[in-house]
Amino acid sequence: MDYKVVIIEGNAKQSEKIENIIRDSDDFQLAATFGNVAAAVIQSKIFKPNLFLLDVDNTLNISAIPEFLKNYPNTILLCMMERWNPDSAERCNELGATGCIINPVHAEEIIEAINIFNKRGSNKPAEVIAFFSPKGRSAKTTLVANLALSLARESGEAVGIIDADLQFGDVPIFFDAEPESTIVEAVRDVKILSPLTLSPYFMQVVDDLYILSSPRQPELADLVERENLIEIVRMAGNLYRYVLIDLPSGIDSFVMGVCEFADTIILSGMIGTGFEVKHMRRSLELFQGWSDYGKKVNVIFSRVDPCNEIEQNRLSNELNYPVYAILPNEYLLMSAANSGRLLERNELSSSITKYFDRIAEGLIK
Amino acid sequence: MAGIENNAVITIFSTVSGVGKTLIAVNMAAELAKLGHSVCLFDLDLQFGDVCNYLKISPQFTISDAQFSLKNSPKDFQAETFLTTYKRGNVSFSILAPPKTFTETYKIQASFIEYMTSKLNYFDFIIFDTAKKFSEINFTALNLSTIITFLCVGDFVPAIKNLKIGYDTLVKFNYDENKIRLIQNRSDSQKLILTEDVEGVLGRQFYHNLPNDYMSAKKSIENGCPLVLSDSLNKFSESLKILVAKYTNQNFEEKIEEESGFFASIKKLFG
Ligand SMILES: Nc1ncnc2c1ncn2[C@@H]1O[C@H](COP(=O)(O)OP(=O)(O)OP(=O)(O)O)[C@@H](O)[C@H]1O
Ligand SMILES: [Mg+2]
Repeated sequence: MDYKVVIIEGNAKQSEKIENIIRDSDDFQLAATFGNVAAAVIQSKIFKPNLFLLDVDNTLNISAIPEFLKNYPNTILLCMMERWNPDSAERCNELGATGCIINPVHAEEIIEAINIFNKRGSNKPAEVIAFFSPKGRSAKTTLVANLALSLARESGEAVGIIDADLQFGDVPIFFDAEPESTIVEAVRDVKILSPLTLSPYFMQVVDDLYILSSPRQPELADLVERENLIEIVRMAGNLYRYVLIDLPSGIDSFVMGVCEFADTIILSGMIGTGFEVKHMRRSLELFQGWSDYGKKVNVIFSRVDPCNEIEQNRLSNELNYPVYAILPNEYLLMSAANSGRLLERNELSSSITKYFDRIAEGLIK
Repeated sequence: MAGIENNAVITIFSTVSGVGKTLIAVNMAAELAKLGHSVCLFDLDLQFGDVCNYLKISPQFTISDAQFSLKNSPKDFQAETFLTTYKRGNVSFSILAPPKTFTETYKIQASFIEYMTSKLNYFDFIIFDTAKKFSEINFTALNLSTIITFLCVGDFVPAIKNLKIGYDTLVKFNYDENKIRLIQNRSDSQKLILTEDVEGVLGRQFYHNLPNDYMSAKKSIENGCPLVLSDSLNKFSESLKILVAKYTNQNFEEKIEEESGFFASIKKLFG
């Protein structure tokens, strides 16, 4: 594709650098360069550009994003920054920009960014969903893996799973995948990464689904600190519309910090002795003080028998909190994970796939 | 060739949740008590412990109260004040209950577990039930142990991977392999994966296999009565009794020789 580019960059030196990159590439055609954002919004019309490169180190330029979208609705708007700034990036995404990159050095970076953001889906902020099973013993990863597949298919947008179950993560097994890098390397490098350079740390398991694996050995878990992980999550939000985080069991500052950051929390438990409901009720108390508690925290029980509305209501009453969804005891689910053949979900009974599809529908924003 | 001397500490550990740690811890405590030993069971699943749930008891004091008391009046500290007794018929054993709130759990120090163990070492047996993870508390428990029961269930590939990682980590961290007993729970349940294959992955044979006994386990938990104390015969109890017998007497060291695994034989080679 041939891109007609308008550059908006106040810094003359930087502006020249980008101009040169654009001129040297066959994929691009330089339409105009502006130092002033207001002028760019009005005067770019005559060039009929299809790509804006907007310097967002200047916050004034960020506030002009809605003007651009109004005047040039089908144009790609790439925001550029000298160093990765998650706050500005999130602001740009909220306002509807296509995506954010570090000031490019090669034309290929711009092409790659356009492809990634195109795959990511609509120009909306990412939805971060944390999966947490306080006591353990739940079908948490089964839920994460299946919901990710359903979400990707139903939304048509990109989904990323971050396996933050640091000691015992098993997301790759569910997809029969052997990732080359893990969350340990990602957090180690986080200070020098941007979405584009973070992307190869994820492994693509299907078209629209990517995973970042947990540490290879439990003792490496200590290397993953909460703040760094949250930075990775925020960065991943620029690559994927949905970022699913698989958390370890047990209550600690790591888990609570990630939950606080997430937009949605899925608390999962598996019915067995009945004491699971009691454990879940205690866990819910931890979130009670949060302002968005009722909206943000969703409880899902698996292995519910009989798996019907009456039982769901009974569990809700016992929990004193609405149970968001229930899942049946499904032997087929286990055998799919055992063989790593989760991806061939048509093999699963369509009835169980429907459960996940329905939950995914509710999570699509 | 002596059996376990008094003051043995047995940890029930696993790197997978829901494998039956608590059920086995409770029944092992009850069986040892039934045999006439004095037993204290520590519930070290500090946040979501099930020991008191499975025994239907409501402890007055917890480990948190104990730690608090030691801090505030060390001179008057009496470890047994904070234990709860479970009694059924003429069998009884003690329990150190987990904290009641999460906030209290953060404050429990690993060194306090060590302290309580030393204060209570007049018990013939101390049993630790644990939560699934490598934590300072669990490492302390493992360090204090005479026997580490590493509990496995071999029916789910992701779980087997985590058992393998868990066992290898124990070996890597230099826990004496003679101390570690691999025990398979629910060994006879309908499985998609063969026991030999699980053993192959782990690189070591199971020391003991416990059968699946769904109805008995369910009933036992509902009634708050350990299976080994119930009147009705059940296969889980029979098998658990054999395990306890293996742990407590017969030619313990000889057993170890034949059960020792791959790593142990390597160690022997290099002396
Ligand atoms: N041999 C068995 N036969 C039948 N049911 C069993 C057996 N062992 C355990 N169970 C059942 O499995 C469930 C989990 O057991 P338990 O709570 O002892 O596991 P756990 O390892 O302590 O779990 P957690 O990691 O959650 O603490 C219980 O419902 C228990 O009754
Ligand atoms: Mg337990």
